[in-house]
Amino acid sequence: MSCDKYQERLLNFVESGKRDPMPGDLEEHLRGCSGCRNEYNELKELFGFLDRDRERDTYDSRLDTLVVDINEQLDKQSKLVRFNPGAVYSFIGAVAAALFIMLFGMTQQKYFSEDIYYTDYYNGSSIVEYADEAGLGDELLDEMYSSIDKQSIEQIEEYWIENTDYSNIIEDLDEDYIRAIKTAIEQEYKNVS
Amino acid sequence: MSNADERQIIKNAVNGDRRAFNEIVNRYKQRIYFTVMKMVRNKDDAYDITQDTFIKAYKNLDRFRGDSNFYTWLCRIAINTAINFKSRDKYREMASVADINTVPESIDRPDHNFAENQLFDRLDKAVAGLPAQQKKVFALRYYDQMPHAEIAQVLNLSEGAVKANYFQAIKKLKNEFSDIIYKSESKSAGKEVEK
Repeated sequence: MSCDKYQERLLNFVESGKRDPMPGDLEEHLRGCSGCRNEYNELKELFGFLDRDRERDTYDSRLDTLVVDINEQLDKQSKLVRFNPGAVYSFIGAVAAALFIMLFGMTQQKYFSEDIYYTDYYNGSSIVEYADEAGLGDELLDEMYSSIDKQSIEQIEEYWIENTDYSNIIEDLDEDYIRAIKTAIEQEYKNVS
Repeated sequence: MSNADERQIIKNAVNGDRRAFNEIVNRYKQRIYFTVMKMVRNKDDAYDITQDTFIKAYKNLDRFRGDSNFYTWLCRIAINTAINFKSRDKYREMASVADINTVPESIDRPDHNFAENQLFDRLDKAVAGLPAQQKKVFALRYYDQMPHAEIAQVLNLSEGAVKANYFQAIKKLKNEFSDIIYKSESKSAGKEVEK
């Protein structure tokens, strides 16, 4: 067995608080391997410290009234939903304004869309990879991220909650969205250069 | 509370029974708060995230399919909320930074000495600096003590990926504290295995 395997077992052993005695073969290996012995001693030190960290900040007294706070929030939100003509007209106006701004923004900078963040949200580095392929620098990526507003992030969260098994979503996204993003970034690269 | 009881409570909550929902909150608030706190390392943020998590859960209870454990579903919302959470109040952020520097140890952490507090501050920063996936796995595994298989479900990863992320997180933390670990290691090296 390689040292990597022994070290994985050492991690499990130390992490479990050494509840059970160390398995014989592991102990035997430690006797003859200074690298793993050092690893073991380091892990013991680290977990001793982490165990002390686990004891702090375990409770917040505000949790005693969390139920009350949550119910107040929910009541507030449900009151907002209940009919209030002034609020409804304001809401319609705000939606119309937001739509106008979104449409205008899309015509100006079509690749700064929710879809881009959306794919990155599930797919980790895909945007960075495509941006690298297209030769785009960090500044452009920063600009892209900063253009994403809170609203779109909340929408994404809603969507995520609806689709708890999001491996399927990633599969769905892979073909359509990533191709669209790649095209958009390449297009942008052409514009920039 | 048995699984059957829990399912009934969730069913009641879905039907608008607020008392049933309150029971869910009381059952899980401590565990969610603690795990989130160990991820974000800020009490105010952890409290807000815990609150947001339950509000989101309430609004989406009807979407809980019951094919996974309820806590797994709830935890997924909490972790996702924590990762996307932006501190709401800049002033609060500034205040919390000031707190770290100025609050006397006797009030903040009565059981630890100054050097230990400094180590904890270092740990807060080290954990905050971990890549998102490693941070999530580390908090769920070490602080929530969740089995690898359940973490895999929460984060939609393979068990192998969970173990690899955890191993990497531990390795980074070990490197972060190598100055202290090596110092004390040299004192105790070999003791354990030589006995």
